[in-house]
Amino acid sequence: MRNSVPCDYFGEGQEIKLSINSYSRIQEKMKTPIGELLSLTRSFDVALICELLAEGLRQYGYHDAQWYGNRIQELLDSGKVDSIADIQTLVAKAIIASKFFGKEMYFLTFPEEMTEEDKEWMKAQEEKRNAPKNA
Amino acid sequence: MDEGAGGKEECAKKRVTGQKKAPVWNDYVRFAERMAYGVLHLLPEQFEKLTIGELEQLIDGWEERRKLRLREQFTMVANLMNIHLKQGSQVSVKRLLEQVLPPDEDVVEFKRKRAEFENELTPAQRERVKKYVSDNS
Repeated sequence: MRNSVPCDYFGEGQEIKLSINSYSRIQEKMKTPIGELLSLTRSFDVALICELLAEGLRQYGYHDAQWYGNRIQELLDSGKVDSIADIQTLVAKAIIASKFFGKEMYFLTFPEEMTEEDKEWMKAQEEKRNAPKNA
Repeated sequence: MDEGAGGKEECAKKRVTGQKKAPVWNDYVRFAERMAYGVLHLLPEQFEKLTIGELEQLIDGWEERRKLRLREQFTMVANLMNIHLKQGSQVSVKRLLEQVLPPDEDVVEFKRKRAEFENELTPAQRERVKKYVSDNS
């Protein structure tokens, strides 16, 4: 099972990996509960993306959110990245890969990771959800 | 680990006033730490590097290991006991396991906390994430 997502924009062979501590640190920095931050009601603003990148790529040497903001601007200016959505998607995938949204979301996003056993588990979850509540 | 955004009092206040959802994340992290340090015997620097998925895999692995160890021990215990018991009233490994293997309370509590946190992310929210990823990939 993967726990990280490859990201070559800020260095060759890097992978975004969001640990439990990463989320706690982001929550602390942003002064907002992490559940709210990642609900996408805030439409994943650039500040949050930069914070997530700073934490997710910490293992390659720490750079703060502003550093990532500048790099993203450079990438956009040089045309290496078409739009900020490319990086947003990468970060969203890294969050799902860390299983923040649970196993089900993980398998929906990375179906290639599913084994036969996992497929049965997914089917059971689906059935459980669709089962009448008063039965 | 600190209390995160707002701290303990703030959480309690939010729960009482109902203005915002209380940050269940902090509860989850507290249990995750308890599992990591108490049950898995991890060091803080090892715990810091773990993702939610990795921690849960480690806990599943620990449960498997516990079952295996108990099975080995109870095989020996059952053999020793059965020497002294009449046929028909002999104990089986399965029966011994049933007495010990309602799963570890800490693990049950940890999983409950995890489910609680996951439930805080509403179905609509999940749908939004799913749509967001599929639209952008």
